[in-house]
Amino acid sequence: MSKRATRIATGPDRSSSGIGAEPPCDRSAAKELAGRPQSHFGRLVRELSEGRPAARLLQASGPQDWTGPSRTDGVIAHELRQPLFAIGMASENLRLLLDRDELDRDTMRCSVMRIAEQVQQAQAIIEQTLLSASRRASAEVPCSPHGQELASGNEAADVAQGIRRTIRQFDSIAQDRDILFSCQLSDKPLVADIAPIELEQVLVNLVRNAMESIGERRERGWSGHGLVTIALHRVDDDLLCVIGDNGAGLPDGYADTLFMPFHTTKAKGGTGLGLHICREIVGRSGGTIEARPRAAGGAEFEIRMPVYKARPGTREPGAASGSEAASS
Amino acid sequence: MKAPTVLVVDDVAAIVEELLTLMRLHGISAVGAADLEGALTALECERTIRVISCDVRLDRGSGLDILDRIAEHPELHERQFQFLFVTGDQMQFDRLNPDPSLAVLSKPVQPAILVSTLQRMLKVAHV
Repeated sequence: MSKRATRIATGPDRSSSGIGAEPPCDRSAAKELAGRPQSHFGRLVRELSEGRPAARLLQASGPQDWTGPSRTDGVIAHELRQPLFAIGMASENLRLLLDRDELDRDTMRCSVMRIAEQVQQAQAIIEQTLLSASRRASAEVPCSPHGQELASGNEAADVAQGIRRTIRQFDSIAQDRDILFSCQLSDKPLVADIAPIELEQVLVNLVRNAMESIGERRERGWSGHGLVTIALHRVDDDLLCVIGDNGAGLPDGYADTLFMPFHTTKAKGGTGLGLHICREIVGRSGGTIEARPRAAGGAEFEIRMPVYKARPGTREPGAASGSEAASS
Repeated sequence: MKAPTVLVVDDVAAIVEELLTLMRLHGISAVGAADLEGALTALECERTIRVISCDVRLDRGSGLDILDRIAEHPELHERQFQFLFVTGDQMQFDRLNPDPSLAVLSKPVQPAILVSTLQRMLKVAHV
């Protein structure tokens, strides 16, 4: 994002006068903003007038080609076309059925329910997208109320603790579904440079997917005991967390599509954003997440994240007076 | 002689179901499939299929692959088909499309346009 555009959001007039103050008149930046898609510009103007940290939005947007839609815009537009297509067909079918002398109420009822179901699907896509964008904006660039960038965030998470909390969440469901958790965790805290809430979001997503994959394998006739394995250890300056399952395995061509937004392999439901969000979260921490077939059948997801390095004046999670930092 | 049939291929069951209803209400014979394997099975079983309407983005792979799959099939490669592709991303389709003469419509397709396009293709196929 250009410096000229940023200055409009953080100008001295605005910071001294507070909410609703006119930004300094920067004609070149205004001209640049005016050339942008009206909806985005309109939102920026609204955010500025409400005194909200528009700079965060500007910076979180990242570099974009303003001559066309961003990649995310294109993906969202594409995915929303699906339910719109189904709604369009269903409403046309309703119209045709209403024109008939004899009403086919069953088919009409199906079309009405289809419209309602696809509206919900579109709402789910929008909500997931907004949630992802909101988390991205709040986690990526911490800002003061006047839009000035703060020192980068210093949250860190004890990964073993996060894994134990995640397993506790799924414990009773796992028992009901005959799924066993097998963990290899270090006794020492292994701390990664990631916010605890985001770590938990990643772990919950992966464990849930593992359990659902086992369910899918059972639907295909398998009657074995389900197993979800979680291993965590340190390799040099990285933490390696591998979550495996003996479920249905990965689909063909998974390398290209698995982490794509809105790609889902689930037969029912799912917006296909879970793994994409996981990859985004881990990526923001300087880490990677990869999927591969598990040697004994099923799948494995490997998360690699840098070990947390304490910044001056910050405290590591679980640190009390006298305890050593895990990263030292 | 049985009327020519349309094969509708889309990985979203809701879309296939509504399209089949639309075809039925317009008196068009149609069958559906959720993926390329299902499409090939339908083509092998239903010899009246003349027009294939296929979503470009399928759950496992690209709908455009159906062209190669048919060309490589020992029996299907001898039959004549007309193809209509449906895409939610026109720009990506233009990048991936191996044949600029392929018919394509963008989602959400207006039902009247879809029906008239398929009817026109069926007329050509029937000749």
